[in-house]
Parts: sequence; structure tokens; C-alpha cells
Amino acid sequence: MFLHEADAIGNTGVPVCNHSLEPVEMPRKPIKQFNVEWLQILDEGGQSDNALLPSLGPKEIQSLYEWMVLSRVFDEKALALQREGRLGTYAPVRGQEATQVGSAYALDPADWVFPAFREMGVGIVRGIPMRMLFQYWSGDERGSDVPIHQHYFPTSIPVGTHLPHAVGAAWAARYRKDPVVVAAFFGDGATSKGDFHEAMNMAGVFRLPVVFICQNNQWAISVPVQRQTATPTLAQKAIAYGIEGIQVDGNDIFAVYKSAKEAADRARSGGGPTFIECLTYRMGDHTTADDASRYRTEEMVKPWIAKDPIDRLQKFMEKQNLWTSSYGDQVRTEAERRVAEAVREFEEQPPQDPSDMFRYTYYELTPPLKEQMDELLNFLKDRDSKKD
Amino acid sequence: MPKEFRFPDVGEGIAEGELIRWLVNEGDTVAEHQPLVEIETDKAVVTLPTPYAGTVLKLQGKPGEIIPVGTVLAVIDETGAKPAAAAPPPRRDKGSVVGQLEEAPEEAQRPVPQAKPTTGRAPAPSAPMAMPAVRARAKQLGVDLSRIKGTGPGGRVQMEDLERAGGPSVPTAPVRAPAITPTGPVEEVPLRGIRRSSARHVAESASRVAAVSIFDDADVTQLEEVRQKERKVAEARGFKLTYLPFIIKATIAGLKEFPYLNASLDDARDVILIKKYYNMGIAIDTPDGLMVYVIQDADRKSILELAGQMHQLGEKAAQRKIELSELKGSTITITNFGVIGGNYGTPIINYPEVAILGLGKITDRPVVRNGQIVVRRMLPLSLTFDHRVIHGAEAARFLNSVIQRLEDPDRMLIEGK
Amino acid sequence: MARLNIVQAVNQGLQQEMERNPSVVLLGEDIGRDGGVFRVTEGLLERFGEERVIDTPLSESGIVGMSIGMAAYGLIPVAEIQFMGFLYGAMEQLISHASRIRTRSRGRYHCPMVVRTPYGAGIHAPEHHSESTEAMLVHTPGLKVVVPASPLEAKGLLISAIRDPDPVIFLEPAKIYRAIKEEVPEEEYAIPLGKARRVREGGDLTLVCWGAMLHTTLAAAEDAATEGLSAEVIDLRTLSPMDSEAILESVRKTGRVVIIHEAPRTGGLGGEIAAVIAERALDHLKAPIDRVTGFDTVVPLPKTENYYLPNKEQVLQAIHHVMEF
Repeated sequence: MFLHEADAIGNTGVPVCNHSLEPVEMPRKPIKQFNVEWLQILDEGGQSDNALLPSLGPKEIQSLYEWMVLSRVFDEKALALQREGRLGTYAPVRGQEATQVGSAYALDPADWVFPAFREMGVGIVRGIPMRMLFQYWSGDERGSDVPIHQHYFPTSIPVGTHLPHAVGAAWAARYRKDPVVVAAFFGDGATSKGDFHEAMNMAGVFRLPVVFICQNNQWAISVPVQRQTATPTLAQKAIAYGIEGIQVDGNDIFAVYKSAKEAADRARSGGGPTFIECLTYRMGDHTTADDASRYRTEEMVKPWIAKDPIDRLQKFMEKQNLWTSSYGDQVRTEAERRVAEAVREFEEQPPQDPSDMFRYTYYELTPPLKEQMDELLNFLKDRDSKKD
Repeated sequence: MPKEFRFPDVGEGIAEGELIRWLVNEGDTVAEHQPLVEIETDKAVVTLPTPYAGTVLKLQGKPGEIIPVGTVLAVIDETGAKPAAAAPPPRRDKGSVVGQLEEAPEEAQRPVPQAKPTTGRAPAPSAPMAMPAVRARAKQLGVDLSRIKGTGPGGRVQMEDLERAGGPSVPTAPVRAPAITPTGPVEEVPLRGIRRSSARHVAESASRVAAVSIFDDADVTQLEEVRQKERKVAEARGFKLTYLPFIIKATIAGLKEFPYLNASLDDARDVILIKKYYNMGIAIDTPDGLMVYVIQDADRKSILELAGQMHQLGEKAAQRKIELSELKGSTITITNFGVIGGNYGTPIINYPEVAILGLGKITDRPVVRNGQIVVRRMLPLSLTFDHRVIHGAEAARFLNSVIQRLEDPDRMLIEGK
Repeated sequence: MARLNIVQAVNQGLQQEMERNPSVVLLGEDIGRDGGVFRVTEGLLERFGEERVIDTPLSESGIVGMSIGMAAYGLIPVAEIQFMGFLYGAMEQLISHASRIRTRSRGRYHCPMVVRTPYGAGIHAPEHHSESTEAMLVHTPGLKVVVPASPLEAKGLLISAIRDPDPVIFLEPAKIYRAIKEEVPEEEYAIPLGKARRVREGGDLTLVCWGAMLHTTLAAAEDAATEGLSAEVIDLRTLSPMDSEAILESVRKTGRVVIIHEAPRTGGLGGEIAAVIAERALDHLKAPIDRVTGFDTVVPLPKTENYYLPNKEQVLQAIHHVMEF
């Protein structure tokens, strides 16, 4: 076709639809295609796809089982203590043991964990003294006084806000040439927060050694995950940030372990971040002060009883002769003993010093804080002396 | 060992409950977390689990009883018994997602406070306004603020108002003075008018000036002769010819020689103002009190003119017709207490002048002249001067020069302008 | 008339305003199906439907930002932020936009929205659930900040807030959500914003407070009365715009004042109130202005929360202090 010369303002005079010329094809075509992968290795019946099984020896599998039982017993105890007024508001983890234990087990001791507030299983596996977990949930700040060498950042309650922290720590680790991975834990609700977007985006842009572990337990208090997002999976959100993503059966300890291990290895070798969506279910209430029967029915919860992560592994282990009922009892008893001991330790803790609230506000007590601390201590001394 | 199980604080401000039924019996072995008792609160029936495993020694409370939170419900002999699986407690909406909220009791409780009429001290009808510093000072001085008229905006009491406490229009409690407690009957005379301003004036002088007095005598025998000889001239003009006009002239002559006695000290600038004009202040006693009228430019007036003006001003003062302008501006003052009596005194300087000449009673006195005792008319003189400005020798010389002229009137004739 | 607590009074207020004006919509986390974590919006989803009672994704910035857009378009959104501690994610929306839309558009657009949030300590909750940072909001020009101290107040102030053409932050003191019940009129009524109320009349000193602290203050005032001291108690109700005249009138009468707030001392509204008093009523003061406040620390967790919150004894101590002068 020939074109007129463009006039002074760029009009060519060529009509929009020129039927006398040959047809040109510019079909709309996809420029990128993505897949979202699902991983399941162990099903409800305890059957496994042996090709996918991670390389874990019998002792390690038993270890995984024992950690999950310990996590479950801790959780049950915490609920009981709360009902008796010995613990404050508590967020139970029942049903999410595989998600937590499986991923934590895949990390190196030197790796860092940035938890939200429903990661007791992760904490236990990482070696946080259970006594401290009880302290935290009883409203005692000393429960957050986790030794730094455990690389476990304090509990962060405002949803999703700790994700940029994980990203920053990952940056610093790489800057320092520490071969560590930063694992950030959060739920499905967190994916609706702005900080999630910002953290995922920066991790992707800077190719940081972060593993984003999303415990999709399908509930954010009363809001189901279908209300949290219009996407059928959360894992696909990774695509938007240019990072690896995968959806795994969160009640399948092997799938969780394997995907977490792969992600950690990838991160450690400079391959960048991974987003793991662990599809699981929050079997209990949001917290001990919540009543889930207000917004979900027994029918919704029931199918997940059959998907219980501990039962599933037990079935697998039975097949492998790694589990007997006496072994099971033993594990349970030992778990109960350890938890009871932690309760004892917890309840024997001396009361906090009132001056505690002032000591950690700044590196050094500022003059106004020193004044206020003295004010409080004098007030208390006065009040106590009047009582005598 | 026996452990007490008390009705726990189950949250939401539950303060008590009704015991519905026991789920165990005394003597039973219980596991940790085993349901023990059902209690009905105002929200729902609560099942309380035992925190201790062991044997139930005692159960306290009967069905139907109201049990307050904290009361011992059971005593359990704790053993290391293996806990059985606890039955899950019934769910109950706590109306929260975290924490514990206090719940209002259903029955009518303490009424929500309404604005009640004042039950305490009635507020002052118009509480005085004053800055904190003024209040503090008032307290220090023992002054009742509500009795002081404030001159600040909106009637605010200012620091000056405090210092002026006892100001002209408002009767107030005395400032600074210690309480005077007479031990016998008294008559109270309010300090008013000239007496009051006079009192304050002398107080001010006394507090500011370094007053020193020197005394001497002038032999006015000759001066007396002149006065007697010329008095008719004055009387023809309607006034008397007293010693005073002569003394004024002699004083002025002395001032011209010793100008520092005709001065004022400006404290603020540390400057002595030597006046080049001579206004003679004459202190007189009036029915209302002591006044000082002023003869302006006394150095330019003749003795006769001085006598005339003195008469005029004296009359006006006596009749209370004297004007303010006639009471101001003196550069030195003469006070003639001698008309009443007395020889010497320590007159108080008419501040801000620096000298005052006091005249005692002229009397015949024996004096020694050329080794002989003779009788002469003697005028006692008292000069108080401000030692800040004038030193003693200077003052003495000034007095000498005044006396010279008084003792030798002809000298005033040949000098006088 | 029924005896209602704050939760019920707010619920009633919301319901009545929604009935009165179809433009009023509610949005927030867990407010529909769950009726709100404190049950403040109980029954409203059933009554008004999903289009007017919206369970949102977990996104405070989104909730407040969306409210701004809704308001600009003509709706009257009443957003719930689950706890004041979670409001901070939405601060950019509040400070950079909600407070300024009217200014920016020179009055063409405005933001008649309400953000309701439980605030304050005293419910033995985990971290972030006890915040009292109203000073940050009062410091933002363009926002109004309201704090009811009782059920009757809550309904009337909420109705005014919803009808107010400016963005209003409605802080609900969680500590007393259910601790007080009082007679609340069935019919709709509005308590004006910007006006404080005198809860207790007295002549010896003035106590200024708001929210849950009102009750601590009243308790102290009662104790002081047994000592012969007559305390006047002012409940501010609206923190921005503050009713300075009410405070000044009382201070001019009594000459002594104590301000009580649970928020941290430095930068707390006690300082602002003290400045206003010093500027305009210094002549009347007989004693220094005293404050009883929370400390300049993070609010402690439940085990030591009581050391932080101002208590009746501390208020009494301050009362004695100002009476010494």
C-alpha cells in the first residue's frame, strides 16, 4: 500500500479501513504462559508416591512424627490452661502441624524465622522453650526473650507486616555473605495486605534468599479464603512477582518438607525467593475468644478431620513398620511429660518487675522514662506500705 | 498433696455463679482437665475442669448456691495420675476475639452519675485574677488578693498593685509592717491627705539620702538693726519684713560659692545635677500640716520682693488656695522651726534636694567677743546635707559663708544683685 | 427505653442510621457473618444484606482507602478497623487523603466517612490491642475525633458522626464496651460533636478526661468528696475539635485542674489542654496544671498492664497535689 506524505500535523489521509489492500494478520497471542504446580506425596490414607518421597531416613521420619505430636499436645494443653484462666487469649494451631513442622524441619539451624502469631509448631521445632511460649500467651513479655542464636524473630501480630522485615534480613544476610535463608510465615489473610505485595515484590526484584511460607488455613477469623482473593490459588500470586511458587498439600508432611527444602536450597544457592502455599485447615477457633460456629458449620470442618496430618503420617509409618501402638503411646507420654514440665516451669516463674516496661523502650533509659519509672516505683512502694 | 481448686475468673467480668451440679463425687479419682462442676453464670452454663489430677478430697458448695469467683470449690489430693482425655467444653460466644471484657451485671447497678449540685465549698463570688507569680508574692506578703483592686486588664491584680497595697481608694491590710498591738486604749486616726503624703515623702527621703547635720550660730545683732530700720517700708506695702528674706539672700550667696548644695543626685544615671537656678523652698506649718511653698528664681528678687512674695504665698497656703505649681520646683529649702521654739534640729531634706537649712529661735545670748562676755542676738542654724553629694568640709564652708553674710549685712549690699 | 451497653447502643445507632439513609454502608473485617469481633454489627448483615454490610479482605489501608472513594461518590461509609492498633496501616489514607479531600478539591468533594475502632487498654489482650494514640489523629487537621464514655453517649455521638460532613474517627473504649449498662432512648437522637459535658459539678477543682478514664476519674472524685473536696468532672467527648471553652469555664471557676488520659504522656492531649489553659486562664490558676497519664512506653502485655493504666489512687494523688497550693 502506499501512504500519503504526512502533512504538517501528521495526518496521512489514509482511511482507517482499506479493503483494497492485502489482509495483514496480527493475531492476539499469549506472550507468556504460566503453570501453578500442586504437590502432594502422602494422601489421607497414608499412601505415598515413592518417586516423590524426600530422602528422609526412618529416624528422621519418626522425628517428624514426634515433633507433630509434641506440637499437638502443647496446643491442647494451652487450650486447657486458657479455659482454666491460667493462660490469656491463645491462637490454636490444631490441624496445621504438618505445615509448621515440615517446613521448620527443612531449615538449617542458622536460618532465620520470621513468624506471625500462629506458628507454635515452628517455634517448638526451632527449639524455643515451651515455657516461653506459655509465658507469651499468658501476657508476660519475657516469653519473647528468645535467645538470639535461635534466629527466631519475635511474634508479629499485625497481619503481614513482618514480611518486609524478612526481606530486609535476607538482604543483610546476603550482604554479609551469610549462607542463610529467611523463612517468613503467614496466613491466607496476609496475602490481602499491602505489605505482602511490597515484600514479595522486593524479594523478587532483588532476588533475595527468602522462603515465603503461606499457611492457607482458609480462614481469617470469619472471612473464608474465597473472600480474601479472587484467584483459585494463592500460589499463583508468585507469578505476579516473578518468583517461584507452589501449592502443596499442607497436611502432607512430606510435601511440605520437600517443597520447603527445595525452596531453601534454591535460596541458598542464589536462585531467589519461593512462595509456598500450604493448603491446610484451621481446625480450631481463631482464638480462644472466638466462636467459629458463628460462621462455619460442622459439615465444612468434618472432611478435614480425615485429612489430619498426624493420622496420615502415622498410617504411612505403620506401613513402614516405623509405628506401633506402644511407640505411639510412648511418644504421646513423652510429649505430655515435656509439656507438663514446661507448664510447671512457666507457673514457677517469678512475677515481672514493674520497672520492666521501661527498660526496653530505648537502648538507654531516657530522662523522662527514668522519671516515670521512679514515679511508678514510688507509687507502688507507697501503696504497698499503706496496705501493711 | 492437697490442692485447692477455686472458682476461676472465666473472663468477661463474671463475678459469681450458681452451682448447678457436681460431675464427680468426693473420693473419686479425677484426671487433669476432667470436668468437675457445672456453674450457671448470667450468660450460660459453664463447665469447669479440674487443673489437678488426683483424688477428690472435698467438694464445697451445694446445688443452688451462689458462689462468688475465687471461692474454693474443691480440694484435690494431687497425685501423678495419668491424665485422661478431657471432654471438650461446650462452646460459648464470648463476644470478643481477644482478651477479657468486663460485663455489666444484669440488675440495676451504680447509677450513671448525673451532674450534681455543688456539695463542697462554695466558690468565691468573683475569684481574684492574678498571675501565678503575683499570687505567690501575695502569699509571701500575707496579702489577701481578693481585697486588692487590680489595675491590670479585666481587673487583674498586678505586682505593682501588691506593692501599692494600701492605695488611695481601697482600704487594705498593711503591707510589710508588723502587727502593732497596743496594750491600752487607742484612738484610731486614719492617715489621710497631706499628712499621709507628707509621711511618705519624709520616709522616702530618709531611706534614700545619706543625711548628716551640722550646727552653728549666726550673730544677727546687726541684721536686726537693719530690719528694724527698714520694716516700715515693707509694712507700707502690706507685709512684714522678717529675717527670712535676708536669710534667703545669704543662702543664695552661699550656694553660688558652693553650687553642690543646690543640686540633685540622679541615681539611675549616676549624675549630679547642679542647678543653675535658685528656687527657694520655704517650709511652713499650716492647719493641714507641713507645706513647702516655692519662690521661683529667688536670686533675682530683692529682699523686699522676697518678703512680699513670702507673705503672699504664706497667706494662700493658710487659706488653702495655694496652687500646685507654687509648691513645686524648689532647689533648696529653709525650715523655720524657730518661730515656735527650739535651737537646733536635724531637718529632713526635701528630696530630691541635697540640703535643707533649719532656723532656730533667735534669742539674746551671752557670747565672748574680744575676751569679753557680751549679749548678742543669736540665730541657731542647722544644716542637713546629703553626704552622697556633699562632703562635710564643703557643707561647713557653705554654712560659714551664709553666716558671714548674716553677720555682715553690708556685704550683701555690696554683693547683691 | 432499654438498658443497653456500648456494644448494643452502637449497634442500635448503626441500624437506625442505615434505615434512615440508604447511603450508609458498613465495611470491615468480620463485620457481616460474624457480626464484628465484639458483636457491634450483630444482625446487620441479615437485615441489610451483603451490599450494605461488607465483609472485606484483610486490608486496613484498602478499607479506609475504599471508604474515601465511596464517600467521594456520595455514599456514607462507616468502616470498622478491628482494633486501633491496626489502624496504622491506614494512616496514609487518613492523613494524606481523607483529611484533605475537602481542602484539595476546594470543597467540591468531601469525605463524610466514619472510621470506628475499639481502642484503649484494660481488656487483657495481646500486643497492639490496647492502643490509645488519639493524639496522632487529633494532630491531623481535617479529621474529627470522637470518644464516647457511656452507652447513651455512644449512640448519640455515633449518629452525629455519621451525619457529619467531615471524616470522623470514632474511638470506642473496649474496656467499657460491656461494663456499663444504662437507659438508652429507643428513638434516634444526636449528641453534638465539639461539645464537652460536665458529668459532675464541683467547686474545688476540675478533672478533664475522656473514654474509659471517665469512670476511673469519677471514682476518684467520689473518694475526694468523702474528704470534703468537691471535684468538677468534664468528659470531653470530642477530642477534635476540642471544646476548650468548657474546660476554661470550669478552670476559671475552680482554679485547679488535673487532666487524665491513658495515652502516653509525651505528646498526649494533656499537653495541648494544659497549653490552652495556660494561654487563656493563667490568671485564674491557683496551682500548677497536673496530668495523670500512661507512661512513654509500649502498653505492657496483660500480666503488667495494670502498672501502666492510670488508676483511681493516682488520680487522687494528683487531686491532693493541686489542692496543696
